[in-house]
Amino acid sequence: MGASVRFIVPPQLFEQVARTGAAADREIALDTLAIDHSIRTARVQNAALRAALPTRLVTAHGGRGNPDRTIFDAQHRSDVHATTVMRQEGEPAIADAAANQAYEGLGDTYRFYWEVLGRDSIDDAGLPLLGEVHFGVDYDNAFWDGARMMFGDGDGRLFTGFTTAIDVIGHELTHGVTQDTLNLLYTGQSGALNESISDVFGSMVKQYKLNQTADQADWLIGGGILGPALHGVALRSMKAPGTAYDGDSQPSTMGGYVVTTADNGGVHTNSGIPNRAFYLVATALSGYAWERAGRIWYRVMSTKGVAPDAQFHTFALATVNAAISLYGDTSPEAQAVTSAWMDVGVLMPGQVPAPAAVTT
Amino acid sequence: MTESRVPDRLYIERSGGLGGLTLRASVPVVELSPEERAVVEDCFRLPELPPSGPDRFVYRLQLGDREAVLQEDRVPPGLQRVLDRVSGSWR
Repeated sequence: MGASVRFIVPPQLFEQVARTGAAADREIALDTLAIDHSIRTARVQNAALRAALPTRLVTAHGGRGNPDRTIFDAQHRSDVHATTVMRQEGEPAIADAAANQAYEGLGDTYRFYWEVLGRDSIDDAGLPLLGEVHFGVDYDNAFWDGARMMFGDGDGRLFTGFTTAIDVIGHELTHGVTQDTLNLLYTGQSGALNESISDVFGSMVKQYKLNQTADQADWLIGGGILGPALHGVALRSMKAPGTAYDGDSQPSTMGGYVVTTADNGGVHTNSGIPNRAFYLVATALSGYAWERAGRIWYRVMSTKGVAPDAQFHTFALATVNAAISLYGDTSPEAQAVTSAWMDVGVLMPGQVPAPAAVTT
Repeated sequence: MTESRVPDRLYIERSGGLGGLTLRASVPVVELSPEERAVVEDCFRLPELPPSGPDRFVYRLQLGDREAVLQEDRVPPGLQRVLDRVSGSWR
């Protein structure tokens, strides 16, 4: 499938309308040009991120099926990559809880990808897993910077730390996998899909570690990391988006889609919609989420089944097609995927590929 | 001749991050040093850039009717000091 965006209408036409058109037309043209510009610049940015991926080091550890982890001490700096190594592959635990949690969490995530999906690290070629703990001062965040996973300690008020939640570590590492596969643009719906995929696989990493079925899982992301200023149980609920904490504004269906300029177009908000779709598929199929629902989602990723600017609708169709490809067009899996996307309002009757159309 | 009114507060919005929380804080302009005010003024002349990467913070500055959007990894050091000062008061 093609991985680039092509506009049918040339940008020069929009520029002409922006200069000489009627007010309403000018506004549409300017919006379109702005989106076009942001996609082109984001493409450049994504290419730079991909180029930043570290190459595999030759070490005594690693090899297919074995992680190659290094945890660094950021020493509360945030301006440069840390060089002080705290714990490397195969070394025993040290007297630093965050370092040990990051080390173990990266190992659990590696094992999930390898044992369940046959993927050898972020790039499927054994890429070393690099993490930094104690990033910044009272830093209320964790993120993937294109080469390393960074973990702040939290300020104790909003967040109490980020390494205690294995799904957060799985979430961050999955951003690396997405960067290596679909390379979804981090804005609007493609950005929300990027976020949702990280939640989906982060949650499955936790479920795999705890040996939980879809029915047994709590489907929470970031449980236990909220500080006293945030009243709730987690950052997000995939089962019931919008209920994780007081003020949680995640929608669960397209009817609640949030249009905003904050957070790169609400990427952490509207991810509630595809998150809920995955939850519905996993629980409809029962058993372990990674056995069928996870395999369908991963199929879209590993085959680069959508373009970087994919919208919810495109991704939904890709998962339907992946389910058909893996299990057949009249399979319960294909029906569950189709029904889930209809339930959240992304697919409508008649929009589904004919062989997979089902009566709901 | 009408004298334009000088805004008295710099409003800052922080969105994004792993949690996706949108939080706000403000600083009285009189509490900014001349260097910090100059950095803030520079920010309003910067072009808005695409997202830096997953789960990074995005800052929106508002001074009067002017706005600037900055990705976390492109925050100038002078502005970072201002952000550090308000870090305990995000609401």
